[in-house]
Amino acid sequence: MQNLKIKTQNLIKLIEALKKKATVLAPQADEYKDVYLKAVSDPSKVILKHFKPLMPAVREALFGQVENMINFKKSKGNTKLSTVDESQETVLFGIPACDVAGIQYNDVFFGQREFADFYYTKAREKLTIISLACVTPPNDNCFCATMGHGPIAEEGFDLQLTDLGDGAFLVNVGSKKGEKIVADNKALFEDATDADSKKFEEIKKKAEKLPVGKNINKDKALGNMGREALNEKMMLEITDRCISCGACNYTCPTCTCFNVVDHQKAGEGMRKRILDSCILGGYFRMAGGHNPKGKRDERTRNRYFCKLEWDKEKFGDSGCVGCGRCLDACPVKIDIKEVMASLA
Amino acid sequence: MKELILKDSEYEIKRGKIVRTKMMTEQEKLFEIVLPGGDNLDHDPGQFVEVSILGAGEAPISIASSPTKRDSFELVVRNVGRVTGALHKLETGDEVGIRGPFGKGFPVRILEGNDLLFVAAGLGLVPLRSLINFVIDNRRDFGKVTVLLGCKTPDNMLFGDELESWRKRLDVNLNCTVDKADPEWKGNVGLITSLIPGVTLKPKRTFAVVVGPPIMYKFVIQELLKKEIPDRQILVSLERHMKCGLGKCGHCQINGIYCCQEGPVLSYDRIKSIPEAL
Repeated sequence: MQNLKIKTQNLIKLIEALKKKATVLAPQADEYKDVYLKAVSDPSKVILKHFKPLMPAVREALFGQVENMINFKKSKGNTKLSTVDESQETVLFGIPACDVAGIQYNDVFFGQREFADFYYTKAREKLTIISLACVTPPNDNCFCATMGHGPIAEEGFDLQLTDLGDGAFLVNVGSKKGEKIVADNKALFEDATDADSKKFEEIKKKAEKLPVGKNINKDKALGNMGREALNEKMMLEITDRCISCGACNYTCPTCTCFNVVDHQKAGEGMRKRILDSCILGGYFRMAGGHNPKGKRDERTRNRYFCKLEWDKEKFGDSGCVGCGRCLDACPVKIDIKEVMASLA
Repeated sequence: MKELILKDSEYEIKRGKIVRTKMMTEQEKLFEIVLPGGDNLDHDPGQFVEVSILGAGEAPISIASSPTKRDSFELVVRNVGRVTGALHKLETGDEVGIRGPFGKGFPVRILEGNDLLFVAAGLGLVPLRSLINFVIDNRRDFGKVTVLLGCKTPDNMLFGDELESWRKRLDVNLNCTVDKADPEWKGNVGLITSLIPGVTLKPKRTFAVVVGPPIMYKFVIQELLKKEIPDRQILVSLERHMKCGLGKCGHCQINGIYCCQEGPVLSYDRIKSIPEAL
């Protein structure tokens, strides 16, 4: 499909139109000027600038920090059970390419045909992704270009916007859903001229060349990933610094592990799943007390091997999308790029 | 908020009905469970179910009975945590939530025609019993059968009556040991590993099936390797916290292996290079 273009004032109109049929989650500032993804009530308040949310977008719409699974009500001889479906038509607007890649990972992980996750699949069917490419890195910890997932996405979005800098955005259409949005709002879009497309290519080239992160050869680093190749001294130093807070897991767009807990009051309650972290000491522990990874260094390693090796074995690519959020959130500044740099 | 039925989802909880309970030791209780409409659980020996007590939670429990027992299935549960503690309070007639069966059980088709050496310690007899009874019910399909059992004291020995019936069979060799004997004990005293050197076997046609507490595997496997049983013919069933049973929640991971999907039964060949596995 030919590239399209949308003027800023029409983009606001588009959000207004989308809002009629779905909850639109878009970057907006709150009264303290903190910016995060929240439901739009006034489209003119949406920040139309590339932006990396503190929490990955997948948490906001697909696989949340806490999700309700089953309602139950106990009475004598009869327990009533019902499944909770909180999914609703949602548009994720203005998310960066790393988040698009994160959702693609989750699509494979939760949507694998053999055991497609009920709750994820329900929510995913109702999700539309309108991403906004990063023309400059949102912060110094970003390294999506190194991992091959940005700063301008190739796939995974329904629509992708790139700021052309002249009051208009170039629009890439990535799916049938995206095509439908364009068809339903024809008057808001216009064809991109050759000059626009050329400008887009230039922006793309420039963005990819930005010295984001360290110069790491991803393929070489992943190829060398292995117990023997890891720099033991560095791993020990990292383990030593790690305080097992789990922030790296909670902010990671491709961390999928969860705990399941029941909450009840007077026989009535809910089964919930809660995002979990393999860095935490009790993560692997069993009821009898046996803990296969009771030592902190075993769990720190677990995270790096999971992202850089086991994901590659299972899905053909590393689980790290290069968003840099683990470093953004880490209180002791442990950097996954250091681990990779030591291997390449 | 809409409510819908979780039909045909792996998260669906079936209502199991407890039809019999029996305290087996001070800590372990047996539950016989029937599914709604008398449905067959349709499991393989060595698989597990997720047992729910709403309000307390859900826990993975090995199936103790053979699939040849069709109308009901049995679980043996040690009282060690929140869910198992709540389970122990249940009696005949109570309801319990069941999901599953999950995981990869013992490869019975591959075991057919071979000699079998069962090694179980402590609670390991519970999942192994599903296979031993399956083998006994299809006895002609298998070669020589040897069962080695170990536990702490004679009081801890599970399935006492059943062990007697195995012992009486001419086509099963049974040998038991306890860490600490009492005056009535007539069997061996010592660790489970002490029984292995005395077994005569043909290593090429023997599959060893080992289930027990985590600490035991390394030592038992060493003894089995001395007997020259090939790595791929040593099968273990590993204990991990399989919270979802679907390869999603992550707690059961042994490095890249989701134990609830690829396991809990794994061959030594598959896991010997993973230091965290055993």
